[in-house]
Amino acid sequence: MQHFWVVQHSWLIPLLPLIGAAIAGFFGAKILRGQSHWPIWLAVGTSAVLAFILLFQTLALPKHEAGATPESTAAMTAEGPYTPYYSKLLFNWIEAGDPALIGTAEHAQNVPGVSNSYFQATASFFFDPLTVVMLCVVCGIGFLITIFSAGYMKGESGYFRFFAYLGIFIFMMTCLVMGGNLIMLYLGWEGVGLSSYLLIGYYYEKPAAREAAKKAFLVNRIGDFGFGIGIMLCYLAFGTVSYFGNGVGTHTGLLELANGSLTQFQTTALYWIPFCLMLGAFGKSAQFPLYVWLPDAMEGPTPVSALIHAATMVTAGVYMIARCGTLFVHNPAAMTTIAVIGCFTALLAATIALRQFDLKKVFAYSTISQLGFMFVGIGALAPVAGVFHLVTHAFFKALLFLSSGVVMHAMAGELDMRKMSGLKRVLPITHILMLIGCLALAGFPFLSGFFSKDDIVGAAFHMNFFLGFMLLVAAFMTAYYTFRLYFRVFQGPLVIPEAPADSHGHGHEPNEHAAASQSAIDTGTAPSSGVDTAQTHHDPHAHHNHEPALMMFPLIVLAIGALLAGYLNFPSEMLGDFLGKSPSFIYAYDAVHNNPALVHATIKASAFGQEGKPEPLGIKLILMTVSGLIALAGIYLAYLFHLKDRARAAALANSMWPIASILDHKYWVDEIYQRLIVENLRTLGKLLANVVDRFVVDGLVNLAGLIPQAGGVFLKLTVQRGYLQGYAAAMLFGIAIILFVVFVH
Amino acid sequence: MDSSFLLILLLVTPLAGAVIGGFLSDAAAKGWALVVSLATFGVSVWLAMRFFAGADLVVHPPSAPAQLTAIGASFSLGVTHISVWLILLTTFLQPLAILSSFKSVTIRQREYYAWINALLVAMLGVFVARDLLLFYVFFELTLIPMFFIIGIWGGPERRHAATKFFLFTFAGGVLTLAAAVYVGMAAGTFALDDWGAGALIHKYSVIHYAQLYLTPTARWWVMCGLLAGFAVKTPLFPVHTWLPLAHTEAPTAGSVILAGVLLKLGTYGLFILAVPIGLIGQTDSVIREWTHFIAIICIIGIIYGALCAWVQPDIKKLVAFSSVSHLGFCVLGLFALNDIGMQGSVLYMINHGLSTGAMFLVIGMIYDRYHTRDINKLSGLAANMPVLSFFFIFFTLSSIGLPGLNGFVSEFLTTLGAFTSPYLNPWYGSVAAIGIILGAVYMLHMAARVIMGPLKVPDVDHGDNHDDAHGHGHGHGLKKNDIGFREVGILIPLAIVVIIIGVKPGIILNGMRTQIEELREAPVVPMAQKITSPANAAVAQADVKIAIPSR
Repeated sequence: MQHFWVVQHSWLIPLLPLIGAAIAGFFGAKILRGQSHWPIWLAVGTSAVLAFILLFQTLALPKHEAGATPESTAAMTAEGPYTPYYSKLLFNWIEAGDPALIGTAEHAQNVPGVSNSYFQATASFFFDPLTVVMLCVVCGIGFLITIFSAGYMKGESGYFRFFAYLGIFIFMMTCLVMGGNLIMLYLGWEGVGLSSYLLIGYYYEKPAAREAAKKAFLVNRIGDFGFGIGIMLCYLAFGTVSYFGNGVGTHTGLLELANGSLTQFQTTALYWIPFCLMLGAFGKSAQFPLYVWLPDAMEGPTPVSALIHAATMVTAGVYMIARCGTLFVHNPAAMTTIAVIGCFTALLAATIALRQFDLKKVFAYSTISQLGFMFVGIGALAPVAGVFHLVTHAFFKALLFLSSGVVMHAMAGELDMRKMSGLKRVLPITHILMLIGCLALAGFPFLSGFFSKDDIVGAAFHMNFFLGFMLLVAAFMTAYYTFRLYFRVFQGPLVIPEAPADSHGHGHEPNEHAAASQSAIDTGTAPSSGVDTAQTHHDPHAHHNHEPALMMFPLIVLAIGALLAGYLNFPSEMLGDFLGKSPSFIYAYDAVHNNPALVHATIKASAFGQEGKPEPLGIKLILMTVSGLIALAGIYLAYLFHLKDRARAAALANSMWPIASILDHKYWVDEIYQRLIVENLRTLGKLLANVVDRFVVDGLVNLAGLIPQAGGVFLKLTVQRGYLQGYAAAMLFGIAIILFVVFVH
Repeated sequence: MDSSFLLILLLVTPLAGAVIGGFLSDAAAKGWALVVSLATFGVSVWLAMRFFAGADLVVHPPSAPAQLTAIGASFSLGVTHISVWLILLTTFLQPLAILSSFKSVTIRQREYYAWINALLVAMLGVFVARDLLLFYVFFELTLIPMFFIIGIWGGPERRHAATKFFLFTFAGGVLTLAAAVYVGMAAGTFALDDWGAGALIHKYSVIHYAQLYLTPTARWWVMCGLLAGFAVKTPLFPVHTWLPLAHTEAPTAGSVILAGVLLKLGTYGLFILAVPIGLIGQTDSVIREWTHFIAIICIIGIIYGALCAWVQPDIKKLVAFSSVSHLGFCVLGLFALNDIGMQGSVLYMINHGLSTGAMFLVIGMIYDRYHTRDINKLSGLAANMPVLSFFFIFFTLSSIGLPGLNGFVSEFLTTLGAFTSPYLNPWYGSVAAIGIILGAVYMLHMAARVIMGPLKVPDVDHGDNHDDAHGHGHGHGLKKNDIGFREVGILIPLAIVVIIIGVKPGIILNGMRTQIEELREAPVVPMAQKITSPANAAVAQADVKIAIPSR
C-alpha cells in the first residue's frame, strides 16, 4: 500500500478542507459572499475523490490467506506492498522527555526514583480498511451535504461562516479517522466537538442555540475527561499512545503490546482503560448517560444535523472502540457494559421518540437509538456488524435529515408534525426519498437498515437472549415511530402550516380555516371542507420550487445508498472481509480467540471479519424473517394510528396519560442533571467565590498580613506624593534596605 | 563574537527608554514607549538567536564592589533554555501591551509609559539574573512599577487593589529574602551557576551547595521561605486573593503584563530555586511530603479557581480566577518532577502568558467601548463585533486546551506529568483533569453570555467613544462597533504564535530537556572527592557543619 500516490499524499485529504475553510472564512464575508461554498465544494470534493481512490486501490490488493494471525500479518508487513495498511509520519507533534528512552517499555512506568520518561505523539496517519471505510463515509457524505447546503443555506446571513465551519469539521473528522495514535484521535475528537459547537451555535442570536452549543461541548468534555485519563493510562502502562508504533508486526504499538505478555500493572491498567475510553465514546456517540446534548443539537442548521449529528461525528465513539478493540476485549465486564448501555440507550431513546412531534427531534432520538444498536454490536463482540450499521445508518439517516430539511425549507421553518399533513402532494420527490429513508430505518426487508440491524440483533442473541429480545423491541418501536412520522407528514389530507408573517410575505390565514385544517390533521379524515381550500389557499407555496436540483441530487445519491448499502455485506460478507483485514480487527479477534476466559467461548470469527466456520444459513433466515415481520408490524401499527384514524392515537395517549407524560418529559433526565449537578455546582461556586474566598481565605491571609500593615501606611503616603522623583527615591531606598540587610550580616 | 553585551543591552534599552521617556511630552511618550519596547524585543530576538547558535552568554564583571564579592554576591547575568523563552515572552507581550494602552490610558501618560518600561527592566532582570541576590532585587523591583500602574491608572478600587497587591507579594518576598540570604551566607556565594565566586567554597553554586550540605531541617526552612514569596506571586491557593482584585482594577496593559509575565516570576522562582534547593537532596533525593503537599494545593487551586471563575459576573475577574486554576496546572507539572511534567510546566508558563494575556486584551477592547465588563450587561457581541468575536472565541479555545492550539500541549503534558510522576500517583493527574472540564465550563459560559445570544450592550456616552461621532442617539451602542486595525494588529501576532506553538511545540520543548534534568540532579559525589586541591578540600570539609536554626 505504501507505493500509492494517494497514501503518500494523504495529508491532502484533511488539509484541503482546512485550506478551503480558511479561504471561505477570511474572504467569504467581503469577497466571496454568496459564492463561499466554492472553496469547500472543491476541497471536500477532492478529498472525497482521494478517499475513494484509496478505497479502490485498497480493494484491488491481492487477497491474503484465510485466518490471518498476527504472525502471518507480521510476515506480510515484510512483504510490503501487499499489506492493506500503512502508516504515514508527517512530523513530531508533541515530544517530551528523553528520546534515548525510545523503545524501552518500562520507561513510562511509575517507578519511584526514575524521573526520566519519554512521551511522543506524532502527527501521523494510519490507513487500513477501517480507516478507508470511515474516510469514504466522511468525505463522501460530507461532499453530498456541502452540495445540499449551498441550496439550503442560500441567502442566510453568515453563509460563508457556515461553509468555513464545515471545512473545519471535515478537516477534524478526517484527522480523527486517519490519525495513527490516540493523541491524533483526541485532536480530531475535540476538533469535531468544536465544529459541532460552532455549527449548533450558528444561529448564535437564538438563546436556545447558544445553550445547545454550550451543552454539546460540555457534555462531550465530560466524556473527554474519561478519554484523556484513558490515554494517560495507556501511556503509563505501555509507554506509547501509538496504535501500531513503528508498524504492524513490530510489537511497538499499543494494540499489539496489549496482546503480548502483560505485567501485573498492565493487566490492572487494561481493566480500567476500557471504562475510561468508553466514557469518551458515550459522550461523543450520545449514549446514556451522556446523550442529552444530541436532541438539543438540532438547533443547528439541518445539513449539520445530517452530517455531524447523524452520519459522521456521532459515530466516532463506535470507530474508537472498533479501532482500539484490543484494549477493550481484555475486560469482559467492559464489553458487557458497552452492550448493556447500548441496548438501554436504544430502548430509552426509542421510547422518547414515540412522543416527539418535531421531525428533527424524532430523528435525533432515533439516531441515539441507532447508535445504541451499534454499541450493542461492538459490545457483543461483533465489530463488523457495528461498523456495517454505521455505514448504512450514515446513508439513511443523512437522507432522512436532509429530507426533513427540504420539508422545513418548504414549510417556512415549521417542523411540527401536528401542523402538517399530506405533503406528498407538494413535495413529490422528497416524499419518495423520505419513504426510502423511513423504510431503511424501520428495517423493512431488503433495504440497507434491515441487513445491518439484523447482524447486530443476531450478535446480541448470540451473547444473551434477553439482550437480543430487547433489541427486537427497540426495532419494533423504531418502525412504529418512523412511520408515525411518515404517515402524519406525507400521507393523509393536505395541510400546510400557516407561514409566519415575515417569512414568505403572503398574508394570514383566516382563523376558521386554520381550525379546519387542524381538525383534518387531528382526525385524519380527508374530505373536510378546509382541505381543498387549503390547497388553493396555499398555492403560493407551490409556485416556489421547493425541490431544486441542487438539493435533490445529493438526496437521490443518498437514497440509492439507503436502498443498496445493505448489499455490501449480504449475501457475501464483502464489507466484513474487507474490514477483517484491518489489524485492529485481527488483533481484537486474536485476543478473544486465544483466551478462552474472555467473554463467550462461542465467539464468531466472521464477527471480526475473520474467516471461520460460516454461520448456518437457517438461523440467519429465521432471524431475518422475525425481524422483517416485526418491522412490518410496527409499520402497520403506525398506519392504524396515524393514517387510518388519527384520533385513535390521541385517545390512546390520553388513556395512558402517565406514560405519555413521562415520555413527553423525556424521563426528566435534563431536569435531573440541571438540578442535581449544574445547580449544585454553581451554588458551590458562589459559596466559594462570595463567602469562602472573600471571608475565610482572604480573612486568614489578611490576619497574617497585619504585621506589614505599617509598611502599607508608609507606601500609601508615597502614592499621594505623586512625584516621579519621589517614586524613584523610594525604589532606591528599597534597594538600599536590601543591601543593608546583606551588609549587616 | 562575544555576544554577552546583549544581556546588558537587554536591560539598558528599556531602562534608557524609561528614563528618556520620563522627559518627553505625553504625545511623544506613547510612540517612544512603543519604539523602546520594539527595540527591546529586537534585542531579545537577537540574544535568543545567538543563544541558540551556541554562544555562551554570560556576564560576570570582575570589578564587582568589594563588599558584594566578600559575601559572594555578584552582578552576574546569563541565559538558560528556560529563561530565554520567558525573556522572549516578556518582550513579545510588552509592545502589545503598550499598543493596547494608546487609547485607554488618558491621564499622566508620560509617567505611565515610563513606569511600564521600568517594569520591563525589572522583569527582564529576573530572567537574566544568575545571582540569587540579584534575582531577588529584580524580583522585588517589579513590585514598584506595577504598584503605581495599578494604583494610578486602575479602576475605581485601584488604591485598595494596589496596596493589597503590594502587601501580599512584599510580605511573601521578605520571607524569600530571609531564606535566600541564609542559604547564600551559608554557601558563601549567591551564584546560581557553578562558577560561583564565594570565598569559602569554590566551584559550587548556591544551589548545589544547598543540595550537598544543608541539613534536612535547614532545607525545610529554606523551602518554606522560598515558597512564601513564590507561592504568593504565582499565586497558589490560598494566597491568591490579591490576584482577582489586582486584575480587575489594573488597566488592560497592567493585567496583560501581570498575567503574562509577573505571575511567571513566581513559577520561575519555584522552578530554578524552590525545587532544586528545597526538594533535591543527596540521599533520599526528593522530599516527598513537599511534592504531595504542593500537588494537593495545586489541585485545590485548579478546581477552586475554576468554580470561582464560573460565577463571576465581571468577565475580567472571571479570567483572573481562571489564572488561579491554570497556574495550578503549571505548578503541578513542575512538582511532578519528571521531564514530561516539567517541560509541560515551562510551556504552560508561555502559553498562559499568551492566552490569558490575549483574553485580557480582548476584554479591554470590549471595556473601551462599553465601559462595562458585567456579564449581565453584555450579550451577543458577535452581531456587532464579528472580528473581535472571532478572536474572543479563538483565545477561549486556546485557553480551554483545544488540540492544535497551544493550551492543549501544556495542559496535557502537565497532567500527564502528574499522572506518571514517580513522586505523585495517577490520582493526582486524574483529579486535576477535572479542571479541564471546568475550564471549558467557565470559558464557554462567558463566551455564550458575551459573544452569543441576542445583542445587548449598555448605552455609551458620545464623548467617550470617538468612533461614535455620528451616533444615532438612543441605542447607537447596537451599531457595528468592531475593532480597528490597531487592535487587530495587537491580536494577530498572538494568534499566530498560539497556532505555531500548538502545531510545533517542539520548538520550545526540545531544547530545554537537558537543562531541566540538570535542575533535578544533585551533585552526588561528596565535595571532598570532587575538589582536587587538598587545601580546598580541607576548607570544604571544615565547612560542612553549618549552624542551622532548629525547626
